[in-house]
Amino acid sequence: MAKATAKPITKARQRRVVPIPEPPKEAFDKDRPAGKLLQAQAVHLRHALARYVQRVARHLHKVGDLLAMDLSTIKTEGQVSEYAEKVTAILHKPTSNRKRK
Amino acid sequence: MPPAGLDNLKHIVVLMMENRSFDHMLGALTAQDNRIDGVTNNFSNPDMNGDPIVEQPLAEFQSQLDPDPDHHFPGVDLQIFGGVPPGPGRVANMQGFVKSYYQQQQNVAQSHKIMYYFPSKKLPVLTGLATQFAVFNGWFASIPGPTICNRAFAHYGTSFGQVGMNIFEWKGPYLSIYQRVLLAGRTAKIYYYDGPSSTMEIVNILNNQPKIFGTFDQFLKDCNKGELPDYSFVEPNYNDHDGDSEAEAASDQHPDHHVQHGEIFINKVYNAIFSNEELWKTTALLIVYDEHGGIYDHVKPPDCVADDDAFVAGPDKTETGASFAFDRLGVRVPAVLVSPWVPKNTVIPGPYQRNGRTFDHASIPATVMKFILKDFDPNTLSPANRQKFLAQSKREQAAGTFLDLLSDNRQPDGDLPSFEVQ
Repeated sequence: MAKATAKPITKARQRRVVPIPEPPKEAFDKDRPAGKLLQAQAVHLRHALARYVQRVARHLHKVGDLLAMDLSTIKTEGQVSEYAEKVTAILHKPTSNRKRK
Repeated sequence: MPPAGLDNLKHIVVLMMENRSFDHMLGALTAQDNRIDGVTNNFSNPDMNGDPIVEQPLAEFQSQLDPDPDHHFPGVDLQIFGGVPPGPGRVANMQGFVKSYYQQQQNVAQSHKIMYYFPSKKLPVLTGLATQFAVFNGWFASIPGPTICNRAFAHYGTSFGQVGMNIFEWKGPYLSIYQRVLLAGRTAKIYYYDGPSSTMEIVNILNNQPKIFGTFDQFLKDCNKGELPDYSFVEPNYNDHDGDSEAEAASDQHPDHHVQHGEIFINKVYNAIFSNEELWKTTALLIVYDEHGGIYDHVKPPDCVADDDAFVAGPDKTETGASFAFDRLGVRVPAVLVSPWVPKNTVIPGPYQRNGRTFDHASIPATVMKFILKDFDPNTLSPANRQKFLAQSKREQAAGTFLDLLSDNRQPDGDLPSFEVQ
């Protein structure tokens, strides 16, 4: 994943070199059984996803009408703005920093 | 006039690794510097035969601590108190580590491995940075328990009464340190390694504050461009997975992940900061472990101020038969502060030493708040936001901070180590 690399060090900033060994290839094992931490991470991720869907679902009754709407009936700037306001309210909320009670 | 190091400070970076104790990772350094409170021949744990098992320099990078040593609340209680049940006058004795590990497999030989530590030469990056910069003799996990609740202390200064791994909901009134930094008009980010590794700060932070996240690739780019936020929290890779072009090995050092991959990751973070000269002279990097992972350490976790009254874990949560008021710290973990402004070979004494000091993960938001307040006046906020910005849990209010370790004198680059994979 990490494609970026650190900037090259200029000669004036050279440090004393300390060698570190390369880990063996066998250290990598994606079939290793997941420990309790990673299992808990999956539970937390699913919980977060469920909450995300719940937030979106609150707007589903509006989404149906808005998706089914015949856009050729939108003629005026005012009609566009009404549509934009409703759709933006739906799209923005799930990812915004929600205000807490 | 503050010291030049503090005056220059523009960025704090925290790298939080996983599940290793102080003695296990840094304890061998006592042999070369007796100010470091690590391994001596004085410490042992009884095994199931009653034989005293001393610490030995036999730790391996992988395939040794399998099964993963218990580090949940009741297991850690056994490790710290040796099996004495909760009650008045109970005193920590650090005598239950071998016993705890034995309970997992009923294997006497395997249980001894919980006492193993790394010779310094096997961990050149962590021990090299510890001796070049500052090492804390008294940095403890915030809770004698597992990852999620301990990491919560780094983000909120409290775990809201949680001592385990269960999903918990933010209860207020305390904002995460990221929200507080943003309220002050400053910048903050959590850099997780990549999508497949994801983050451990999910239910409350990722779910509600998605904009503060970036990947490690972004961290490297931000270091290169000099665009690092005021406060950054870096997460290692938590699992082995296929990357775009190569295998991505876990770098968190959680048993049974290969410890050398963590060494290389720590070096990448250090190097990314060093390679940008302007960033290097304006940044303090804290490398710390979330908890001890069930592995032996000899220092008794001290008592601390209890957290808020609302944050008490009942016996159903602690599974020890007693409530926990968050009035005692967890087991000691490695912690190293890296900055050119830290005097070479600084050792910060622990709580049982002369001029001793105690730190835990609540020290992270407490320190970041001090850093932000250095040149931010909260009176510029609305009354409601000022109240939110300044709200700190009792634990965070009492936590030690570490900006005073930055001095007037800068270590020359030529004296510093450059770790190179060979």
